[in-house]
Amino acid sequence: MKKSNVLMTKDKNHETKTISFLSSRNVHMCKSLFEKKSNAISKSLTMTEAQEIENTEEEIPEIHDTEDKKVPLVFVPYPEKIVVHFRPVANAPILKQKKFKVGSDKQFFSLVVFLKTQLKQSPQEELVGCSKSKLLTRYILKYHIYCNQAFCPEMDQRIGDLYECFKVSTELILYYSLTPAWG
Amino acid sequence: MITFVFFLPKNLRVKNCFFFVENNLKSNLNNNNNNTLLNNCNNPNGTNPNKFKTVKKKKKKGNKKFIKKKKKMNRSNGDHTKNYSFDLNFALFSSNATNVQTKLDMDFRDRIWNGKVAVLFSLAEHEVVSKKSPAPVLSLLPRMSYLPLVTDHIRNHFIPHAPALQDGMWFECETTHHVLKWHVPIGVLYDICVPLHYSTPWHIIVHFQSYPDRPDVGRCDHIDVVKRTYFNALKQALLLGYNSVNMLVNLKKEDQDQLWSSVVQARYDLYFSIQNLMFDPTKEDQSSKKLLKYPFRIILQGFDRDSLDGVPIQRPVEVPSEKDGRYKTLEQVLKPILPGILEIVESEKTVALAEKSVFIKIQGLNVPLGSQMSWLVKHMCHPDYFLYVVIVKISKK
Repeated sequence: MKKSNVLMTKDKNHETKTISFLSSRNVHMCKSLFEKKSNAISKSLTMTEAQEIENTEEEIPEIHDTEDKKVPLVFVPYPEKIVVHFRPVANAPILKQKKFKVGSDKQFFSLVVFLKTQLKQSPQEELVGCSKSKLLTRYILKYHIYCNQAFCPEMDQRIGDLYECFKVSTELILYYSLTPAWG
Repeated sequence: MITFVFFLPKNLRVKNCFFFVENNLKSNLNNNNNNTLLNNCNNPNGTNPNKFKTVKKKKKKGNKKFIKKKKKMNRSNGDHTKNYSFDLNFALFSSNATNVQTKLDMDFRDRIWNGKVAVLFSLAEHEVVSKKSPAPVLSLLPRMSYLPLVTDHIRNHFIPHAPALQDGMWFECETTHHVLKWHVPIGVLYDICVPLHYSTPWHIIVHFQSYPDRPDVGRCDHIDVVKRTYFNALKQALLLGYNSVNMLVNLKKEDQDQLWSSVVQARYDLYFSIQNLMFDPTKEDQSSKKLLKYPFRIILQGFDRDSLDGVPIQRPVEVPSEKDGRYKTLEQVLKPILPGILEIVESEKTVALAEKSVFIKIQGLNVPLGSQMSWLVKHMCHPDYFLYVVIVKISKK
């Protein structure tokens, strides 16, 4: 790795730029190629060689594509994990950590349950003698979580869909309060 | 035990049957009113026998007229299905024209909004406490309403037969055994559960015990919970569609209350008057004038995967600018979101309706893919401003 780095710093031509775009794995490949070459050829890779490597790299994922080229029933535009930013409203307790990465495939209620565990309000203190999941369903109603300072999403909505519709830059901002805040 | 037997023509849909019943009831009511008016006007004293005779004659005439009217009504009702389908075809045809259709088809919208669903309610067998099991209740529920708003009489009917210790009323579909989500409009639930057999009423089982332990269903202890969720859904649709909720927030409180009461009472003339207030063209606020994104939700059913079925899909799809007369069709909207499903639909294009496996439904109607999206949003959306597109796959044995 060190060698290749030195190589790249030595000549600052436009040729080396193409190499810098390659991933670390490519650099390794460059290195091995480079060692095989005789010393008679110049110590830096030429433009054509770099392109060749790029081409061979591109071919590999293409083969993978043909293997699972099945059209998905539902196209998913959002990433697998998205950033959710929690903000308190009025006298709601403050979280130590405000941003979390959440699986976008989950439904909104999982986020509500998660927030409750984060706020460390153990449900056992309030209600005794109920099954755990029943407790959760009862508990959800006591919290108000707003999206975009406007509305409470429904419990069965997908987090990814909310992110896709109402994201601010690259995160979904949710406001939580103990009392109804907006409407 | 009393059993009700309804003979319905096979080719008539339940919805149309209701039109039939409703119109007859209306004509009856009108006629009764006329008769009472006649009596009041012509027979103030009731002393003159001649006068009395004339009144009787008039009454008879009135009855004859009424019979004629009724015949006419029946005829017109017989043609109703034809008219209905014709209207739909015509409207969708015209929406295929190159020009963007902006005029609102009031008649079509009213018919859509007044659609009703025949439902047969019965109490779950294992929850019957009394010696005789209670008679099932048949009732017509408006498509645009929500289950907790229209089931008070059902609760009152079944509660004497149910155990004393109760855990909230909830509903289950008899054929598919789905727990019915109360925050989804009744029409959408009907389309999900009853994709094909229109001729029989939708059978729902009423439960009073063991409320489902599902956090995505949520509890509905009070009507205020429904109100809150309704307004939240409305705001979400407005924020998605117009990028602003000002038109709703800036309404007077009385108007907001009236909007809610119009939803509760299923009085949609009232609803439309408030809607006109919200989207008043003379208002200074420009945000309420232009639809930016289509507010719609897709609900899939029968695709054999728990992660897909029943969970609404909601994606931002931008409205093309109307300047060049461009518009998006339903196909153009659905294809990027559901590439796999649209492939199945296209492969079945030439197949007869009865043999298809995938149905795309809005408000219970099989909508052609070429129909204009903004037209659909305007005419066929629900009170929460979302257009619910239900896609049902039927597995064939």
